[in-house]
Amino acid sequence: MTRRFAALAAVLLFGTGCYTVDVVAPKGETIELLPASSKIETSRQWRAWYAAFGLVPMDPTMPRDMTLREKLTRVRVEVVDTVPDAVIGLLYNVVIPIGLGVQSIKVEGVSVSPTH
Amino acid sequence: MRAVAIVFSAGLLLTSVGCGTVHIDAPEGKRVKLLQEDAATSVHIEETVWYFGWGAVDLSDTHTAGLLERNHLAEARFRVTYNFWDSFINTFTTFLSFSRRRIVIDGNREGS
Repeated sequence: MTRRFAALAAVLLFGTGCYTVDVVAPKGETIELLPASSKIETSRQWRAWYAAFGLVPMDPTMPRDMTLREKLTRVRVEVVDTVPDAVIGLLYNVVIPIGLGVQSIKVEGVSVSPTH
Repeated sequence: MRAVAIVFSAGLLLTSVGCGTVHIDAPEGKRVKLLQEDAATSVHIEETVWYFGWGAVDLSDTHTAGLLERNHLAEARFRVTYNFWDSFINTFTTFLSFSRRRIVIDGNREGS
């Protein structure tokens, strides 16, 4: 019985990772959100790594940082789950359970000056 | 006991497979400003989105455009996350390939 509870607790722990992604504007910048159908000039996708089953972001790069780096003024963001992400999650949470995980993030946008 | 171990292992396997995509975008024809982290806001929305096929099929609207339009938000910031209840529920629903995720929006309405 104790082992079952321990296993259930482990499952819950694996799932309570959060893998939180914040989508905010960089400080001091005026950024607009783009609709899904808008044409874009720039598209960047990367993997953010998390430790402790998603609780601790290891990679500080969030959409805000990419928006600043690419000098985008209008953006849309996707928090994407890819097959390689799933494989990495399987590898580091089940096969070798060291609690590492990834979340793919995509930022798309344009660099025109906002009109207000 | 062996069956329990197999089922739990399968559950662990399934919970780590992809849990669906969230699109942070604006409604067509509307201007929405992306807020900074510490900007003051008056509206707080939490929306749970569901997926089938371990994230392959969206059962809910996973675009924020709809939420922004329904709540008349002119500016917002977003958080995509799982809270404890999402993870707790996913632990069991994932066996049937259903999963959920949470979108948190803090913003201000038009004219505020």
